[in-house]
Amino acid sequence: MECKHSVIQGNWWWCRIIAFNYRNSLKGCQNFGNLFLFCIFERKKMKNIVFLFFIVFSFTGFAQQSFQYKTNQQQTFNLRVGMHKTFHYVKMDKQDIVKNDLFEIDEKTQKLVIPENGFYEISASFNFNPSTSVIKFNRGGVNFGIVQISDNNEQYVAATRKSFDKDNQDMFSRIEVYPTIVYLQKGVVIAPAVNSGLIGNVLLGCVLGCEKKNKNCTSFSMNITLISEEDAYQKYF
Amino acid sequence: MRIKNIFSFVFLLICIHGFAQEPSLYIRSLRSIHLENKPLVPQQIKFRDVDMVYNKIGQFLNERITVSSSGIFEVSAFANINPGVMGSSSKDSIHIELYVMKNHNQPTEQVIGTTVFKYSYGNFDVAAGLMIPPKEIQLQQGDEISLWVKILPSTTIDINKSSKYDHVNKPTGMEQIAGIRIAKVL
Repeated sequence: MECKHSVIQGNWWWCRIIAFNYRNSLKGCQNFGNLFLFCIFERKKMKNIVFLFFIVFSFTGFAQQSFQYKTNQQQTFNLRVGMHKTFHYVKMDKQDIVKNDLFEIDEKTQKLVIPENGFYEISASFNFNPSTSVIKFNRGGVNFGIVQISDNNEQYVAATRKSFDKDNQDMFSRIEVYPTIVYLQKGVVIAPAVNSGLIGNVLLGCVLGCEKKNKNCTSFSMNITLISEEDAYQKYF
Repeated sequence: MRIKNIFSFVFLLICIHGFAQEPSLYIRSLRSIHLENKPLVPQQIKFRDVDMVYNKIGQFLNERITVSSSGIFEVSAFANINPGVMGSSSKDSIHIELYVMKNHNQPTEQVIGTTVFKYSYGNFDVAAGLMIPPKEIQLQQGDEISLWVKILPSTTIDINKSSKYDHVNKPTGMEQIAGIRIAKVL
């Protein structure tokens, strides 16, 4: 059956533009989500206005909550052999928060606490220099990512393994954690971290920062977006 | 008229709920996956039902990911691969390619994104993250997306040939070993 609902109907004012005739069947409509825009005005203007306000406020209420952070600050880390269970957390500054309508943050806030159960999309970027000459022909695996912290649990939920070698052991490399979707539970703490993956020598003075020629680069950034409040019954992480 | 309005209200809530869901798909494996020591032979990184984290845009049946509607999509992927080789010379190297394909072995076959990593002496037994950055592509309803690995001919030594050794595996301290994300852009 042909879908008739994508046809703009009505001639009154602009609300009428998205009018919707219920007597038509929904069968044949492939993109059901787009029908959001087709509100239900037919005869009584006052009711139409109420619905219009409802739609506007619904858009506001259901806008995706997100947290965006971006900094050019520099930090150093000491990564030691065999210490892959030790996470070195990236210090964050409230002044470098670009956008936040996800976490509750005030002057006393020390942690980013997941506000509700749901699916979150996480991405991050690290500009990192091992600042060493000892990797040479030895192991140089370092992990970068976002860690979830809860009782008895501290693990990456989104991360990238970078394998450094003689060619990039003493220069900045951009390490990206591309968008990763995970299910997180309310109350879990989220924090960016670096840790030694599999390294052959201690790496002292590793730098998360910017080159001297480009001090205003993004040394670290991360985005977290709540994409769905849907329940999950599986341990997705 | 009241009943009609109630239906309208419920319908609107359903639509809003649909709008609140991000139209994307994310699948990943926490299990290690074996690779054969066969240079130039494409080897698929296969996922299972249990690997599907989030899916609002496609189907996953018989280890196949297909999109349910046409449009512009952003596709990215990754795999942590460890050649598992010890005791080679400093002149050796291992080159491994990771790539995402559309409609493998079909007339509309296309490589969506690819990345190559060169393993050098000292890191032959260290997992490296091979990352395919997000790339926008037009997909048609029913298009199939899959993730593949290929050992390139420029590789000078064999990867670990033991059938018991898994090459797509868990780097220390990390759980996810391979994954694909597909997000509908338009």
